[in-house]
Amino acid sequence: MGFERQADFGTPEVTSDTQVSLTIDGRAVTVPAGTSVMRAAAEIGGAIPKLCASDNLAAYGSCRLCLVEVDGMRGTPASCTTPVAPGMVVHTQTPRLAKLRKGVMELYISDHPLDCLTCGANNDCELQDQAAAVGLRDVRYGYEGKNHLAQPVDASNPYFDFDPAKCIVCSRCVRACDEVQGTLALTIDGRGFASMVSAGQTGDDFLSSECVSCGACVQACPTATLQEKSVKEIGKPERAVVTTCAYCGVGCTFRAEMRGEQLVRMVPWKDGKANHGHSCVKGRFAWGYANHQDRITSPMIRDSIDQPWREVSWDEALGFTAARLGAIKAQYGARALGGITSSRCTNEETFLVQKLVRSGFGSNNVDTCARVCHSPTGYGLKTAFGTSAGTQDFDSVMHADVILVIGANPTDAHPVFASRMKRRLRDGAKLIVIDPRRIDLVRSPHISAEHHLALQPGTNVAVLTAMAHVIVSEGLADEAFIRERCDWDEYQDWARFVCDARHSPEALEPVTRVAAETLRAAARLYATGGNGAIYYGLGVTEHSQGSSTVMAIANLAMVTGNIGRPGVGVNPLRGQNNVQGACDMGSFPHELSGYRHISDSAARALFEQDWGVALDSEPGLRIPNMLDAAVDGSFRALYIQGEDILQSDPDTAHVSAGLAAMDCVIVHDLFLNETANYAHVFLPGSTFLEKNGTFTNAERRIQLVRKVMEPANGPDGKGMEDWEVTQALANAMGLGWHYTHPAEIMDEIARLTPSFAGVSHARLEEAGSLQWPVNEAHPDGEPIMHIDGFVRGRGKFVVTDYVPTDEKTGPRFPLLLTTGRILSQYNVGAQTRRTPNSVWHEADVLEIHPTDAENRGLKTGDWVRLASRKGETTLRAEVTDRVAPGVVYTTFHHPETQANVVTTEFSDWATNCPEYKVTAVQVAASNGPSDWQEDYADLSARARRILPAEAAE
Amino acid sequence: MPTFPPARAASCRRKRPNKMDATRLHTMANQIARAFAAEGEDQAIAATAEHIRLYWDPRMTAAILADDRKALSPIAAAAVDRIAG
Ligand code: SF4
Ligand code: SF4
Ligand code: SF4
Ligand code: FES
Repeated sequence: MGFERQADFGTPEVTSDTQVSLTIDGRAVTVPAGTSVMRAAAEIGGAIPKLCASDNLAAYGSCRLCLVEVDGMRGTPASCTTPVAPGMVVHTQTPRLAKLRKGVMELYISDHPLDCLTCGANNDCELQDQAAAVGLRDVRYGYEGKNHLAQPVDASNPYFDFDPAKCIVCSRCVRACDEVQGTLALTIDGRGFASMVSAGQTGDDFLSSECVSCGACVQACPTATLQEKSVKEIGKPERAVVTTCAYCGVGCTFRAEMRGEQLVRMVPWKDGKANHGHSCVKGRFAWGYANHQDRITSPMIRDSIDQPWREVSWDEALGFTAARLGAIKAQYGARALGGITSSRCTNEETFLVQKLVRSGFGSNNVDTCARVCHSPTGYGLKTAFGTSAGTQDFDSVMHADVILVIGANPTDAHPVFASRMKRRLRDGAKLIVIDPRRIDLVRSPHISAEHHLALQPGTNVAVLTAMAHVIVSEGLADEAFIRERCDWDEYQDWARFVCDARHSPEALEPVTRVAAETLRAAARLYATGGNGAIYYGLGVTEHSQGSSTVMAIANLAMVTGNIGRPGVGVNPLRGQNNVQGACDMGSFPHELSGYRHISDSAARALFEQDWGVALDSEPGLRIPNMLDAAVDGSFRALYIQGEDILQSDPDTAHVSAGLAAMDCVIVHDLFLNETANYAHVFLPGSTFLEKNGTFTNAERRIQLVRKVMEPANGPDGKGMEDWEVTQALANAMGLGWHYTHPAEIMDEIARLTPSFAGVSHARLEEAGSLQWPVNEAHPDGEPIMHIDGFVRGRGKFVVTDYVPTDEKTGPRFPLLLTTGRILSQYNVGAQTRRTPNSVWHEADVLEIHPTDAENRGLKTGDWVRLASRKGETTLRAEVTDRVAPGVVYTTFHHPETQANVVTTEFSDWATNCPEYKVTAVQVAASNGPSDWQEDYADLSARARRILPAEAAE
Repeated sequence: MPTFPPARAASCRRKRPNKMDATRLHTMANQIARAFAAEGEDQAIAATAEHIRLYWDPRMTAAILADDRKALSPIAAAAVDRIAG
């Protein structure tokens, strides 16, 4: 693809059953009723000049450049605001129009600097294009009049500048922020000539305003007023490659706009089916980590972790690793070896890691970071519906009437999807939020949740069971749906269970701390408000009853008939970009790709034949069990691709003890992460910009990741994509793999996985993306599941009894800590902390309610000690009533904080997903870092020492 | 060259972390049994045994089988007995 902007049709696409035919400049065109004349003209390749219109914004009609003449109509209507009518005859280029347009253009240009030759947008500027299109040759008003040319540039945002001198006040940025992003950070101040775009209140700049740096306004701006700093620095891109964001589970697609081998900017791709041309600050701007000085590009080894690292060649590193693994296997058996796949890596890479473990190491000890986030989703939804995945596509939210958000914070963790959800909420859908904390969504511009159930952390099951109680006992169950789709006997058992008086909202109020009346109202609204859609996140799964909560959610959806059509469903919001994919690819110790249990001999035989080895038929160890077994001495070697379990997993002391006990820890990553402090081998990884493959997002959408630059982890183009590193390790162990491209790995996945049977890179190239299952029954994939019946046959109502967690508050630890994340940082922060995103979040803080703060004499900004029975750490306090009394909250993006030092070993009963969301703690004033933090900083500095490579002889 | 004991981070100021000792396995088994308890005793015993068969590594199953049943709830104990055959 060369470099050109994506086509802009001027006004949004309209869908309608009625088609309208008209004539534009003598050419016939047929479009859906409601389409604008401007869009109709664009669809047949016409180009009506325009400045204030863009096809992701509602028509506005302010610039008057798009005037047209219509036979039988008086005057010259604006084509962007004029809908087509049957038989209309439109002229877009006439002498009269040319004159009018020149006049308009002259006015704009007279208040615009004429420094095009030195402007960052030169040759990529709509104002320039339109001036050329209208044939502007002279400006009669001269340039000396009153103008805005002396305005100072606002460079406060780390990624883009605002240069008001170049602004033509088309208000596209304001509308993009309102309509596309939904933050409403921008306004047009003043009137007439004095009008100006402004961020936030008077005196605010972009950084101090409400702006979340999503980039929608930059994208919308037709001039260089709002422009990426990188374009100014590097210059205009010369080619664009479409690829997929590697941050979160929304899976936005972007055009990576390149100049030579240098990435100039990431621009959201309008044809991306997950993001429809929108983005968030992470995917759009926070890619600078790819070239950060901390990135390790050479393999390194050491005999023991008290030695400094030694940089070595790939051959030496792989030979050393293979020899160690071989020795451990010979001495302790195959079950002493294991691996962890990454939800950050591609499907192909993940598949290869589990293949290496199962067929090369010879054990089923393979797990993935999904263990610590969405493993209960897999278990719960598979039990209830028959598939371990969400039921809808993202677009489905546009048909929802009642949106129930539980344990998720979409505006921070899934921002682009949140923007869609907010759009639907502004259009009238009702919102119920179940969360201990008042997340932003509860009150944001033009949105106000109908009900916010600020429950006590750890009582999800109680709240959901009480909702079910209300629905069934008040006769709101959709019995026709249940009889047709679900197991009626199971339903009746369940209905009897939930109807028991001990599950009424009144009886449970002391436990949940949710007012019974509020809970009843929320249940009634969900059951009777039309299409009800449930969206949930880690606040559901990361509990000792995570799997039960997922099943309780499934029960609610089934009892109200909210499954199997657009606008409804059960939608897990996945954390990492490829959590869904990592689970699909057989990353769990008990199952092969496509969720087939390892004891299923037919499935195993398929793999055994293809791979030519016998596989262990017993399930392997999960991550926490691996660590237990390591301390115990029966588990000794671990290959970790793209994950930092020391920082991300709970009970840090337990993780470090497990790692320290192993003989061979192989970390395959971009940076010397925290886990690498305990590693013997470091294999440098490649970024998503440096590899080919696929990611699968939270809506089961498989999308291509395309390589735009050479991997930096080797000299002179000898760098390796991550799948190549795994393959090299496999071959050092004598496995004889010879994939030459990830497309071949995908072919193997398709061959061995029924739900992927129709997937190939060629198919994906052609279709753009596919939502699994893709096979004979669903050749083009399936956006919405369980349409005519559940995948498992009949939907299963599972009795979910509320069991209080063992983690209880008491006199020593009277508060409950819950954890979460924020928009600008990503997970353990390994990437985002290495970008200017840190201006929004320099450190983790502890949110505490004013009452609790006052009792302890704390104020915002104070250092506090946060202690649980597991450990303690220190961080700064922020006093806020976002959290309820008795609850404190923090994020875990920074290794210095190590919030997981305090989290416990408790975990979900079914999947061992750790209980991050509930820890009993005490908070007190403190003078500075805890002993743990100081010890750890010390250890970390020693463990990261690197000796320079020995001179080659 | 300065050295430090590898497990130092783990040992500093906290009690010894969990081993794959029986306690952890007991907790897991009891938790599973508790989750199925509402389905009635027979069903819960069968479901607990099945869950352990499907999701536990053999060394974990072996460890809990080898241990006595004192720390297990009645359902968990019956499930473990059933796995023992
Ligand atoms: S970057 Fe996004 S949030 Fe900020 S002003 Fe622009 S559109 Fe609004
Ligand atoms: S900043 Fe750009 S988009 Fe916003 S009003 Fe000015 S020219 Fe239009
Ligand atoms: S919403 Fe997620 S996928 Fe989209 S740009 Fe942001 S981080 Fe990337
Ligand atoms: S493009 Fe139609 S009035 Fe501006």
